[in-house]
Amino acid sequence: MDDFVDDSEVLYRRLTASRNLYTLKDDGTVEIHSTAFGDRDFKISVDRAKLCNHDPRYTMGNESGIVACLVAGQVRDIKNLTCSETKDDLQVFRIEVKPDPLLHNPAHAEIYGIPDFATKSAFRRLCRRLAQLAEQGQWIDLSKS
Amino acid sequence: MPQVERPKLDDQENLVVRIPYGTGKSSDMLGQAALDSIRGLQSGGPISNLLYGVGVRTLRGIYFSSPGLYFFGLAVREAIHEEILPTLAELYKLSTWPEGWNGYDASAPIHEAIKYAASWICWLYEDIASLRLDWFAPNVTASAEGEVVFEWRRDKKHLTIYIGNQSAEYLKDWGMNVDTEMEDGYANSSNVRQTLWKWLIS
Repeated sequence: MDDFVDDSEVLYRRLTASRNLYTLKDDGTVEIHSTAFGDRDFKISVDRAKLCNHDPRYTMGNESGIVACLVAGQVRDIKNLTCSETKDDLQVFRIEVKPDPLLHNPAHAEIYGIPDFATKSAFRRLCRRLAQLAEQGQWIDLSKS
Repeated sequence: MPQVERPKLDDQENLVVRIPYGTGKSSDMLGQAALDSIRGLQSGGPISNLLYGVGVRTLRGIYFSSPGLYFFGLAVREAIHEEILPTLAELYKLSTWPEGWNGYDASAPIHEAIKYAASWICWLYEDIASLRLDWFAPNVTASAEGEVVFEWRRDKKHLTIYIGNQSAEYLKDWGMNVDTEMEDGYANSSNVRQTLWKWLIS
């Protein structure tokens, strides 16, 4: 099993239908809301496409919704994410993606901050940026199949 | 040929200020009749819905521009709040979402957050109305921590409100740079809510 997620790798994130995590527009585009990438531990679960045969249905399972695609290198390119509790206490975060295989999901990986996010402020900005990237990238509609 | 002047929709406010008001029984009856007429337009097709919206906005204008006026007050207040009923309905749906509602490990939406969010969205609506600005509905969802989340978009501007137990925070962005084109803070006061809305629609 790889111990590194290459910059060129595609990452899948499932956005379940009926939870208002995304909005399909009449013009064929999608609005992806930042809550689509929320995680209560500030570590965002994704699946590595190359380890699930590039099959978005692997990520969606039997649910209905869309699968958003991110590219690992673009995620790592998110720079200048900062947080300051006080004027003299400016933290700068680096964003990383690492494999995190699970027993039932060997394709599992995590997007996280270095150092760990201690407050919601910087994490929310990260989620918003990921939503922007996902909107600009590829997404697969599995709500009708 | 007789000339018939048709009022423009934009002139609705001028029309309604002609409705007599006061503390007398007859003016209350007239006011109630006007309110009933506006309510009668609801769900009667696209044109009726359009007129209904205009009517509600007009009532809203009168109500908020005359703070000392008890112009069949509670009924008007109820009517103008009908404009945000779809948002409130979406909000209360959150209480049915279970743990793991997002397909990952999200907490179920917190009951106290939903209750507070209902109050907060009404305050926002009233803050907007007092500025005589238009309202449009947000996307309503939850965060993985169980907060209520409202999101609005207008062109490149995006406003997200996170509501927990007795507190609201905002994240606004107008571009892709997480440092220079995003800003966050608390959204608990009327002044901040109005400033955020003016920014969003400007």
